[in-house]
Order: sequence, then structure tokens, then C-alpha cells
Amino acid sequence: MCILCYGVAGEEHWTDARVGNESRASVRARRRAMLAQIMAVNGLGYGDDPSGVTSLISNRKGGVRVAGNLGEVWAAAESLTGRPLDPLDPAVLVRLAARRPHG
Amino acid sequence: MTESGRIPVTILGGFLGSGKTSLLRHMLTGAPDTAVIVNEFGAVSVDHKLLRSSEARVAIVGGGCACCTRREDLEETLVELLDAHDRGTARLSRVVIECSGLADPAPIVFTIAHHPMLRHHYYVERLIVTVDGYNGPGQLDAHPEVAKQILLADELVLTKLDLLGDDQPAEHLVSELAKLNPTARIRSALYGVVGDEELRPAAGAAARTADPDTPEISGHHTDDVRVLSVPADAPLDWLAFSIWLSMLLHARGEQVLRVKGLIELDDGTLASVNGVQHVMHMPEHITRAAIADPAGGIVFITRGLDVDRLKQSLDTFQRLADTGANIRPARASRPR
Repeated sequence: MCILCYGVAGEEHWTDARVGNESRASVRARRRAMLAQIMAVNGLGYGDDPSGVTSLISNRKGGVRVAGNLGEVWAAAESLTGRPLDPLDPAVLVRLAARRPHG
Repeated sequence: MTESGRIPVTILGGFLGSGKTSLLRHMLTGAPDTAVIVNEFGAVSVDHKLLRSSEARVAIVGGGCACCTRREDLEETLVELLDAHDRGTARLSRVVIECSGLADPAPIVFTIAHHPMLRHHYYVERLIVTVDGYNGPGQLDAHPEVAKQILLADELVLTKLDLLGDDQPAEHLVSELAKLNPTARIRSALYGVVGDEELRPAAGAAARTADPDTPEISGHHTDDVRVLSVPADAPLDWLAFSIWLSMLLHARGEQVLRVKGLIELDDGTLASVNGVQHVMHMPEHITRAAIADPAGGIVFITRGLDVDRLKQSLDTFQRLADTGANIRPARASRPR
């Protein structure tokens, strides 16, 4: 529990490990950009707080889920779509490849 | 203990009669601080003061996936050993968990990696599986549990090779095992003493040379196992890779039996990746000087997945990383 914001700290996820020499700010910004695109091709919206600790995943019906680490992000997205987001889905891969030039 | 202060856990698997106990006895020679957890007393005949019995008692968590299953019996035994260590009544420097030939090792890895307290005190160092060099091929076909243990292993120890005649060379079995699990070291053991020599090229070299369209392994229980070896011909974007892999494991974790390898990063260093189904170990930075085979490359052992599409997906997500390359972090992270 954070004593400043009362946020409940989740379990440390393997993707939270610091790997490479990229700055934390750069990691947060790129993570946000990539996740936003992945969610968009699955019909979802993505945002996070400035610190990048808490993510908000939403659908077009007004459903919103809060998530901490990446494991929670995928679980939250699944609860909104009713199925896991599958990176092997051919349609998803086509849409991701099409979005690539303009982000 | 390692630099992180945690106690290493070795999981020892293998079918009954495959030489597990001989290997265990040898591991315990001169290692009084090693605790041994067996399924039941008597099944493994070793005389050791830190011997504990633990009869499988499982708790299903998270959607009923077979690998995401907690072994409550194991939790209690590991806590008890830790208590004894902390009280000073039994010093503990290593734990060996005997995993019977019928047991799935994935829940053991899951239990240690996800328990809120135990994961700070223990880590799974490696999964060793003994394979009977004489009867192994038959057991592999008849017992799917053995096949799964071999698929998940970090190290395979071939036993009873001395029983093979001149007309039964071990090379064929070694080659079959290497195709089934290119990430595992394969060595031989005689009366529990494991030889130093590896019986096939190191995992990195295998991943470099393996054909991405690999190998349908023949065999009744391994028909749908496919291996994807991604050579390190260019550095990978770690962030895109970790997003992709976490998404893949969430959606398809039961079909991704093993992920293992070294990823070359943009800064020229390497990151180790090691996972068993849904359970990923924390990645570690490794310098090239610290390892014998510094070539990168990663291997995916999958069941029922189209590995061509897996590679296509990995590539697509890597290209996605370029979209974030021009983002200026200061502006992007400014509160609105």
C-alpha cells in the first residue's frame, strides 16, 4: 500500500525488471504508445498516469478497468472483450502492421 | 545462496528406475546443508537428515490452467525448512525436490515463483530430468508425463548407457532428445556420477543453427510439439519483446511449454529469458564475458502452435517498437 495515494501495490511482474540502459521516462512513453496501438486494434482504449504505474483500459461502451503490471493489463483487457487478446490472431497482425507507419 | 540471498531449488524428475536416486545420492555426498523433499518416504531410498516427505496436495488458481496450480504441501514444507534455517536448528543452502515420474514439474515452479513469501527466499535454479538410456525411448512413447518433463528440463541426464550394446548407439536418443528440447544440456551419468562432457552442442549454438521450420518430433505424445529457434542476427527491442511475450503467455501460455535463451540488446549486452508455461523467471542482465557461449538466440518449445505465425507475430511487434522511437519522453509524460 502506498502511503501517499493509498494505491495497492501489485505483485512484481517479470516485465517490470529493468533491462538495458533506456531511461525510465523513455520506457514509459514507448510502452504507452505500443499498448495504445495494441488495444486500439482490439477495439479498446489505453491510458496511464504520468508515472506509468497505473493503466486504464476502456471499451466503447464505457467499461473501464484499472491495472498495474502488464499481467494485469492483459487480464483487464480480457474482462472487457470477453476473450484474451491474442498476438497470433491473423487479423490483429494485419491491423497492427497497417498502423505501423503513423503509429 | 546466490548474490540475491535466495536459496536455490533443484527439481529432479525422471521416470521410476531412470537413475534418479543414484543421482540424488551423489548430489547429497558432502552436502549436509541440502534439504530433500520427496513425494513419500521409501519411494526414494536415501538416508539424509534434511529429508522431508510431501504428498502432492494442489490448489487450483487462476482459471484452472494446469501449470498455474499451487502445491500447498510444498509451500508448507518449504516454510518449515525456512523456519528451521532461521531458528538455526538446520542450516539450509540448497533444496532438491524429487518430482516423481508421474508428476508435472510446472506447478512446482509456479508455487515457488508466485508464493508471496517463498519467492523472496527460494528460486528454481534448474530442472534436471534423468532419462533411462536403455529403456527411455519406450517410456517416452508410453508415458506422456515423461515427455513433458523432458520438454521442460534445463538439463537431461542419460543413465544406463553402459547397458547399450555396440549396435545400439546413444547418438540416436541424444539427437531425438535434442530435437525435442533444444534448450537442455544433455550429459550422461554412470552410477549417479554425471560426466562433464555435453552430449550435444550448447543451447545457443543449437538455436543458431536450427531451422525455424523445425522438426516435427515423431512420437505418440509429442506429435504436436514444435520448436521455434530465433537466432540473434539483430538486437531485439526488449520493451516490444516483453509486451509481446507477456501477451502471448496470457493468451496461449498452456501451449508455450518453454521459453529459454539470451536476447541481444541495443547496448550490446545480453538478457536471459527463462520461462515454463505461464511462469517467467525475472530476466537477468548478462555480460558476454560471463558465459561460455555468448551468442544470443531464443528457443520456444510449443504444443499445437503454428511456429511460422509465432515468428510473424514476433516480427510484427518488433516493428511496432519503431512507432514509439520518436516520442520525446518529457512531453509524453507531462500531466494534462
